[in-house]
Amino acid sequence: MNNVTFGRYSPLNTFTHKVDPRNKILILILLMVSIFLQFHVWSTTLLLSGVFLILLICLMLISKVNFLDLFKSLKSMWFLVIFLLVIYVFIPNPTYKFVCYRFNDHYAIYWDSFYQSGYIILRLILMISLTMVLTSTTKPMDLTYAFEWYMTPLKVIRFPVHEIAMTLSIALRFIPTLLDETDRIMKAQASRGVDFNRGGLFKRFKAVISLIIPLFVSAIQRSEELSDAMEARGYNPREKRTRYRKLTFSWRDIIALLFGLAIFGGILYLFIYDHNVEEIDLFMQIFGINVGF
Amino acid sequence: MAIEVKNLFYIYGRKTPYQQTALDDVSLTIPTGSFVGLIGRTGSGKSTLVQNLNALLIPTEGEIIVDEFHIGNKKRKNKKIKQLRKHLSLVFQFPEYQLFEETVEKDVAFGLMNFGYKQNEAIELAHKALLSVGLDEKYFKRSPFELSGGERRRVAIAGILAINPDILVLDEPTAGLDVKGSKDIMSLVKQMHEDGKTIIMVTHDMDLVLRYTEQCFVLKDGKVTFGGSTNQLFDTISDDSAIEIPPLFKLAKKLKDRGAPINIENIKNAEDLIKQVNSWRKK
Repeated sequence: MNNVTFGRYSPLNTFTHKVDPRNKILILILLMVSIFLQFHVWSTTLLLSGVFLILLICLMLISKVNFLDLFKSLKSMWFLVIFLLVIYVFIPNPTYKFVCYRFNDHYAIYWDSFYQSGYIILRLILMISLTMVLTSTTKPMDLTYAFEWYMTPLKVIRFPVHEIAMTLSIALRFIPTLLDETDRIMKAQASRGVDFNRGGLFKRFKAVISLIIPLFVSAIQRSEELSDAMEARGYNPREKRTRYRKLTFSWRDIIALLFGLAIFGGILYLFIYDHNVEEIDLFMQIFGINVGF
Repeated sequence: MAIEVKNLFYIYGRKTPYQQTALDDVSLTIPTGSFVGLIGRTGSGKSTLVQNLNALLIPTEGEIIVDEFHIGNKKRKNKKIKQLRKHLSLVFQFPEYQLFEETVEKDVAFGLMNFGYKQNEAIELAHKALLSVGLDEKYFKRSPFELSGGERRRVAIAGILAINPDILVLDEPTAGLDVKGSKDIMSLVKQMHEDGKTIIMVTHDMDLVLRYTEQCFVLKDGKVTFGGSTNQLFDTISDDSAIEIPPLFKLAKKLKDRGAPINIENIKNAEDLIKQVNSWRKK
């Protein structure tokens, strides 16, 4: 079970680790929006995605995020990739122009569909890696503080912000505990002869049942104990609370925020220009090659 | 020799920031039919060691020989793991959390059926195992979730006993049980030992170690710091180490120091000491 390493917080001390979590969330959203902007000329979109990829690699190097973890998690995406590819390639779309293979007068496979699915996968990879940078450089507790901070305005309409943040942080806190528990029960059942990796369908089903029921029982028991313990210590979610760790804004945050805003602003400017003034063909402008159509 | 551990290393989270060496060059041998105690502080590697013994964890380096089975650090090369687990069974700490079936008898029979027994055969053996842990017919059809903690633990232990392994490894079998519960479990374990099984017990309770085990191994920071007879251990260690000498043994030692002809090697429980003192008084 310890191989679930994707996006797990790693206790290092890099620049990204020190940036305020609220700021990191904001920058993440800005970058994600910029990734999702699509331009008229496909080569421009692709080129900008390449720029993002390079930026991301720099970011991962700065944050000392393990590339191996990323590849491991991407490996499990192959099913999604094939699914997307099949959907895009075989479902006709009237906006496609470039024929790759024509079956008959009404049905053909288009190059555009490959580009579209490839582009979506690229965006997904970028999003996943960005999120991974966030979660592996920010403590889960800090993340929930940041969420709570962003939701504070909702308190005006009596939205239970604190309760939700508390639930979220408890859920995050118990993920490793439950993973340990799963590991323990799996081992206990393995010493009773359960083989989780082999056997027929019924045997595997039984194996999973022997894992899930004890896990649920202990999780429910744990939650009851936890709520009792919280009540015993006089926990009241409506009370005003103080923090042990205060989130502060430093020069690092200003640099990071400026970086995020610069990228977002730049891409947004290009996007508006592309849609309202004239189509941008970056390849044409930079390299003088016309690959757009 | 039932078990031979040779230069065993086990490292958790290798090549990550969480890397931690749990076992550091552990070598030990456990003879067939012995009752062995495994002691050490929390985090000293006891549980890791016993999990290596039935291939729940694969050694990072080194090897383990359990009778005809061989466990090395290459996962693919370890064959017959299922047979190994039937030969050497592990009762986990707080085993009551592994119960899941609708009825007690089905839960005990579950392990047996995994090892290839037919259903009616398994249920029959399950009944036998349940009776041996002191749970009678009334319990067979009940749900394990409505039993008390002590009863649940007995069901879980019965689940392992029913498999009838030759080597039984118990990880803190008495933790969290009341006096009677722990006495019952221990007398059951003793019975199994007398039936010729090799018993390995991890525990923090030094009275149990003194009373039941013949040999013991002390682990500290993943290393074996002592291996030998239990009475010898209590005789040689100083008071300030992590291991607390049982009061009974301390008394015997004091008596001996004051010149009483007491054979420390034979003291296992209060009765032994009383017998020796009485025979001394008669003289």
